[in-house]
Amino acid sequence: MSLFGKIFGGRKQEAPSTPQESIQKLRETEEMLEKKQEFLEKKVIDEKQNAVKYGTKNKRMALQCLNRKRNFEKQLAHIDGVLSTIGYQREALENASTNAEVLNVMGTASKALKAAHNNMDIDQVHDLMEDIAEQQEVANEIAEAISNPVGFSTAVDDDDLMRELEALEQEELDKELLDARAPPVTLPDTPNIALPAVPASRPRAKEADKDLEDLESWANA
Amino acid sequence: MSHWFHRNPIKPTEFVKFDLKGVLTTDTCSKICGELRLRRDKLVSQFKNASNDLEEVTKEFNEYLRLFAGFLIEIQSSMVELENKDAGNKNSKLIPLIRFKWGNSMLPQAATEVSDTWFEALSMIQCMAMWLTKHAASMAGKDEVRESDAKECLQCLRQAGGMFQYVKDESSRLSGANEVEGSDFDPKVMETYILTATAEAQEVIVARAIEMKHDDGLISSLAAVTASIFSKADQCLNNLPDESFARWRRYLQLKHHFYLAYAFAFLGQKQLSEDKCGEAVRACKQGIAEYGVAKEMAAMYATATGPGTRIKPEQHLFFRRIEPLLNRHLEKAERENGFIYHQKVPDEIPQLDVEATYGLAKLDSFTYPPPAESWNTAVYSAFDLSKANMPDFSKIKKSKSKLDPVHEEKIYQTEKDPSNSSGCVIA
Repeated sequence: MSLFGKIFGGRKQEAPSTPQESIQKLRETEEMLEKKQEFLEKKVIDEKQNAVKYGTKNKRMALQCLNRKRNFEKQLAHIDGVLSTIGYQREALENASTNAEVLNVMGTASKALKAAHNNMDIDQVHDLMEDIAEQQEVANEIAEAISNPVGFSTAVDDDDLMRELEALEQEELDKELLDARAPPVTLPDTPNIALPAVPASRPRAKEADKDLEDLESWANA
Repeated sequence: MSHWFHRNPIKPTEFVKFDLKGVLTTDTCSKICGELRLRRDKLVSQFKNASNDLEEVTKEFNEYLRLFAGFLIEIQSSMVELENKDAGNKNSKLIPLIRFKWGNSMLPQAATEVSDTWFEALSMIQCMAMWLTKHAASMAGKDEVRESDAKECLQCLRQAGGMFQYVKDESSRLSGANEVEGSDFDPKVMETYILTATAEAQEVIVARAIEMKHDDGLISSLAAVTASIFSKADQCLNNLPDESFARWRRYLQLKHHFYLAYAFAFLGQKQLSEDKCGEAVRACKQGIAEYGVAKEMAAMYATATGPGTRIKPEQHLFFRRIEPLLNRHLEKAERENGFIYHQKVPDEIPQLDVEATYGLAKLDSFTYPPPAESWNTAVYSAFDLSKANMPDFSKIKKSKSKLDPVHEEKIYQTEKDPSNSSGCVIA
């Protein structure tokens, strides 16, 4: 550090923020940009409606509306670009922190595996495996011997059974064809009742009313 | 929102012997008077500790009132209602028989002596109401306040308000009692007690709404109504002497501005959700301004004269919790306005919604309990007034001797940060 730096104190190096903090900040910025997008989209719709409203009556105003609409659309396109850049950056950060976490775990697992294999001798393992294979063969022979029926007639003609099944199916089909009726062709009348108008919903007001009811019932319970 | 409530001292009283000697012609009469003496003494000592069990104190209180009923109205049958003066009940012949001496919560120097049993009954009901408000404060000041505690707190405040209302309605029975300015029977003081209990019950509901993350507009309106009730309570004490009432008034003013701060903060949130960002910024700024006034009031409260709790409210948890909330709401509104909306911040203060429908805290009306089973026509007749040798003290008299203030147990108030996100532990 230079003499000036020593006397007046150099610029303190800021501690780099953790990946989690950065991810959080990027998310907040994304949310804010998305909110701005919604706001601009509303503006675009408003300007479009105004342009249609002025139409031929006031061409100058209509053109101004379209001009503003175009500006808003440009801003929207710009925000799209920014959002995708931020998205990539956030994903990269998320992947980086995931990779770091995974590597950390893999290192731990590797050590654990090494520790587990410490007390094992490969020759012992081979001998043990041979014993297991031998016993398995004996078990298989016994199982086969007791599963083959001796002195029981097992000769069944598969072709004969197949023919019987086909005959049954044909019989069922004939029955269905005899019972078949012509489908009705008369169509129902269309209702001539006027449909109710869609009520203008006030979701926030409804929510507040529900909350008020909840509170009242809690307070008076 | 760990609550903090200012509390006035409990009314002091002199021990009553219920010693009627010749008037008591039967054992039952003597037994009633002996039991009244013991019950009264026990009840008065129970009022000293706010953390006593609610059920137990309520039971003691009701038993005393039931046993005392024969001294208020003529006993014609065993079941007499004392609900109101027009119910056809005649006044008891025993009304002027005993002299009672009571102090006042706000005038520690002035004690009043009256030979009127209604003076005793109404003073005792006032005392019970005060104890209920103190019990509510002790419930709200616990380290961990569960939902059942919040309910009990709300119930106590509503019952207390109903009792204060009953005393106010019945105080016309005491000729001259409400002429002593600043006494507990002064209509202005009684009205303040009623409004304070209502506002504090409303506080519990606001806390519940915040904890349950209810609609921002609803919370804003609830807080605004609460603020306006505190303001009305303060106005009742307008013309009373500052040396006795300054501290209580500062408390009411502090709470008024405190809840206005909440109302504006949540109004800002509501406007933000409706894309009225400029107005939202203005509302949040107004909330911070109201908090500033509340802070000044808190400093004035700490140095104000008059009886009641002595603490520095601005150091209390309930006060510390609001500042980050206000700053967070303003920061969010300003950030979004600078980033998205770019709306003009208006100069006018936004209007708060103070619809009557949002005043959810209803008081529980109090009715005097029916006379105890010990009372019947024969027992009532057995009190022989011809043997009474007493002057009539039915006129209100200022007592020459002073009453010592009641030595009450300190109400515990937590300083532990709540474990939940909203910090609103009454929920």
